[in-house]
Amino acid sequence: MSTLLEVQGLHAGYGPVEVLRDVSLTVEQGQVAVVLGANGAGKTTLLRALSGIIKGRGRATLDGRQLLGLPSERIAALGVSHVPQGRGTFANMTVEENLRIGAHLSRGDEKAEIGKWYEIFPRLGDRRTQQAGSLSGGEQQMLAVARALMPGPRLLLLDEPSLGLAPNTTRDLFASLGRINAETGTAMLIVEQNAHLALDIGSTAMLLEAGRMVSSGTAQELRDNDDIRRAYLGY
Amino acid sequence: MELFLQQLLDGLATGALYGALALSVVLVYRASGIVNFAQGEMAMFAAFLTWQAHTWGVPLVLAIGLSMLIAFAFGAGVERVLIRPFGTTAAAHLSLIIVTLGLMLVLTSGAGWTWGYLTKQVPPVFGEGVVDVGASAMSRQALGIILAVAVMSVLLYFLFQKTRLGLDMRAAASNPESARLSGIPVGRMLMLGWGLAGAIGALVGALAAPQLFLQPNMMAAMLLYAFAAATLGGFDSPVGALIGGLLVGVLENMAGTYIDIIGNDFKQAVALIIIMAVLLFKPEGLFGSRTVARV
Ligand SMILES: Nc1ncnc2c1ncn2[C@@H]1O[C@H](COP(=O)(O)OP(=O)(O)OP(=O)(O)O)[C@@H](O)[C@H]1O
Ligand SMILES: [Mg+2]
Repeated sequence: MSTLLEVQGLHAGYGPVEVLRDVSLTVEQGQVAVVLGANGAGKTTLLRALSGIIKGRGRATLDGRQLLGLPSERIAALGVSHVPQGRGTFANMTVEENLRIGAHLSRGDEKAEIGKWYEIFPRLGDRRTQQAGSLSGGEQQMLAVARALMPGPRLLLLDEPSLGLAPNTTRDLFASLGRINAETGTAMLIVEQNAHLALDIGSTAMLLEAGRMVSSGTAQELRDNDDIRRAYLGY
Repeated sequence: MELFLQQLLDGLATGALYGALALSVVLVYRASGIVNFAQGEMAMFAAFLTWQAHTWGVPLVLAIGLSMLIAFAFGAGVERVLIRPFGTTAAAHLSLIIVTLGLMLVLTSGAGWTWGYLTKQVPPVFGEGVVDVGASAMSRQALGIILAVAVMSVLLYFLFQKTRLGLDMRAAASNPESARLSGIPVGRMLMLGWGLAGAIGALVGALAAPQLFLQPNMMAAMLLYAFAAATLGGFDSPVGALIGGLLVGVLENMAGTYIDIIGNDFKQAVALIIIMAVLLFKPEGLFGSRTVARV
């Protein structure tokens, strides 16, 4: 396996406030990596720095290409797709329009691509002319994921996909994510509070605390770590 | 009845111009979240360019096309050079409004310095004479204005609803951050929005000039009506702006005719009353979304 995303000594923050300090991590091709951490640890900040929404210092390379310093639209064009926390759908536009926007960077047949996602998430197909803002939370999350995967990215950044979802909706969503990863080989970096489900589909995991990466390893290693088990798995 | 019909038709013609100018205000508002107080003066300046080209012998329609192109480039340039450096945060809005007010003054005095403050005669684009419409009559120019604005609206509708570019522009206006994450070059979309607004304004200026007489303050009052139209239609709705414009045009005309104390002198009060009433009772306007922040 070769490395897809390699982050080394990443610093990022907001104005004078530095949130991330010297963060390093790697995501291999086709792999799902999970980021755990308490509220305010800097998980969202990490994803925002990687997709260019905020500035970062250090190195973050995709297939050897430095991402830091590029504008978001260029990073997206390199194959990094980011589903922001709170979903970031286009609320006043229809489901279908949202998916077409997602296809901005895809070279394939837009209609066929969209049709494929309606098969994976039939609820979206039933609501294709409905405004995205009027969908339920779970439907919006499906839409956000589908939109982000439309262009066939190499790396999907997912920020708390389970936020506001019922437990069984969350389970379905993670099952879909696992299937998508297995079928398309899209690598994923997932920030998630629901550590059980995330560690199930993840092969590696890391723990962020107050802006620093305090431990990382295989998903199994983190599951077996007593501190992590108590704090994030709750048993 | 005949008088009523006549007033209605006249109102529609001026209303179409208010609506088109309101549309350019709305396009900028959707793109950058601010009201461009210089929108009217940009249209005025473009009208002078049209007039200048025409007096140099360029056929009128071609002169309008040329000035629309220049106004497009100018609008896009304003976004890039004067607006973007301030960012789009709410904190920047006050600075941006002052920038557009400054631009308004620069354009007014620039036009005055270049062409003087005496009014200039501009020939009507669609010729002299009248056309019968049922029992009423309409000047060819008034009918032409309505048709021109209708054609422009259809073209814009096609752009925004049926093309990839239009979809990208709407996405950039709706959620800039997500649009960037989808690979849409949002900055370029904003320039395009401002450019379109400028070009529409240039058309309005050229169509309005024969009636208003070309001079540097020509568009000041019309911008107020355009604000009324945009407010009535909903500040973030292009369709609302057009319909709002027609309504304001008709209302203004009717009020001037049928309410004695308004007459011709207080017509502008109608615009102010509409703005006040909408903001008090239905702040999102007829077609706007509820979340739009008030200006
Ligand atoms: N826009 C901002 N401006 C200033 N500080 C911010 C901003 N966004 C986040 N922060 C700060 O950065 C720190 C990390 O925030 P971040 O959103 O990355 O946390 P998180 O790990 O995603 O938390 P959560 O689990 O609650 O989503 C917090 O202390 C927060 O206050
Ligand atoms: Mg977060």
